[in-house]
Amino acid sequence: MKQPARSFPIPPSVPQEAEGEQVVIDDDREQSPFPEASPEEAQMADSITSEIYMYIYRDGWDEIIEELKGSKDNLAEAVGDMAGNLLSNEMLMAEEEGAEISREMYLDMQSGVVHQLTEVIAEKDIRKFKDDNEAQAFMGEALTYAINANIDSEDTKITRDSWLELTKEMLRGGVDPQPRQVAGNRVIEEVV
Amino acid sequence: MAQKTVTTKPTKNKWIKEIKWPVIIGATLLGGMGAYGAGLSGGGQSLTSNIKLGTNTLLGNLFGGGTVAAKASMVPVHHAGSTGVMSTGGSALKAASGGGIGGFFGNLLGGMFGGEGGTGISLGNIISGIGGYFGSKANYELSERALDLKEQFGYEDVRLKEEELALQTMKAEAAIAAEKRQTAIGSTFMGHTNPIAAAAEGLTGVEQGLQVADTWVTPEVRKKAGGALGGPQQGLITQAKQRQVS
Repeated sequence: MKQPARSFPIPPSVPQEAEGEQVVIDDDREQSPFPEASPEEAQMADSITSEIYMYIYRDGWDEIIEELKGSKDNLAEAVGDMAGNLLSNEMLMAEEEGAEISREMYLDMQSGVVHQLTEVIAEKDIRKFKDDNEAQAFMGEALTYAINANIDSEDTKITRDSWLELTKEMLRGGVDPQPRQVAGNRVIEEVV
Repeated sequence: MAQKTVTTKPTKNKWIKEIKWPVIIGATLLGGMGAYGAGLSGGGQSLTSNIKLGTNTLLGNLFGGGTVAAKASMVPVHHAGSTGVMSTGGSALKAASGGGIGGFFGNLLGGMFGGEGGTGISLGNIISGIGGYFGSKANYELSERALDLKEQFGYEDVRLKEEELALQTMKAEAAIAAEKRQTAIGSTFMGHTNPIAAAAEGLTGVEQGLQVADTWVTPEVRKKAGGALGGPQQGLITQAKQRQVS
């Protein structure tokens, strides 16, 4: 086997990985159409959500389960309101302690909390999902309620006006949900 | 408030997959519609009614006046556990909307609004889906007209500029029409409007000009009648004959 004298031209849109570096591509996970967060923002978001997850799985567990079991008729709304209130309170508490919380990470954090609570109801058999689409539809509804709960909360950084601004931004095409080209490891063709 | 995300976050959970981006975007837009509807007269009752009110108001304004042709195609809609094809009528939509917000997402992911379900959904599919599901008419072609929505969100400057532009256009058209009329009036043919100028666009109330016969019509004469001088010649010379002679 020998290497070709000249490799084929690589289109500029195809990212080239360093040799030897392996990139695992998860087919189930689409790349985010939103701008990538900075490491500081990501850390900040994780610090907020980890507190909430801790509460869900420890101190608040019994209360949350009881609340969700009692809301089977409007479970998505209950999950959404709960997720929205938990995040809203957590952000406000963190800011009272002097932290600076970027609301640009709000959707990322909120979808995470909704996801965790949905996990809880699935794990506790409060609601069974026959497939992923059904779970996604449930979480979408819950997320909508969570956003609404945040808009109605005491958070002065997420208001009706600010959300309309975000909506406008999305309608102007600022976010395109079409998955971007997935980065992969280019294999150099070999001539036998 | 641009939103950012962490794409490197690993999937931690074994039960439910993380929320897909089209779902997040759909929820974000629905939140916006709800926020918009909540501020309108009659809003503030429930999130679903706010979304419907917001969507209807936005789309009603957008497509009002017949200036924009809304595509009224048949939309496949999940309803009562089955998939059917519904017309774009309002009553059909009411039935289609019966599933609430969760039903919207179910249809979105099921490819009911276009795309291929969870992976091939575009922003246009989502907006179109919201219009079709929560609006009073189904399946607007919003994907190409999403930017027009900015007016409804308070882009008064854009609206005013468009109005001013329309006004200027009207003025220009009026000036052209006046000039044409002036030309038409100044150019007459035997006391009537010049037939060529009369054909000018924008000129109304034009009288028909003098018509000249293309073919000669044989004049009728009174047979057996005596001539004007009682001679053997037949009747009077007609006006047409007179004109020909002269």
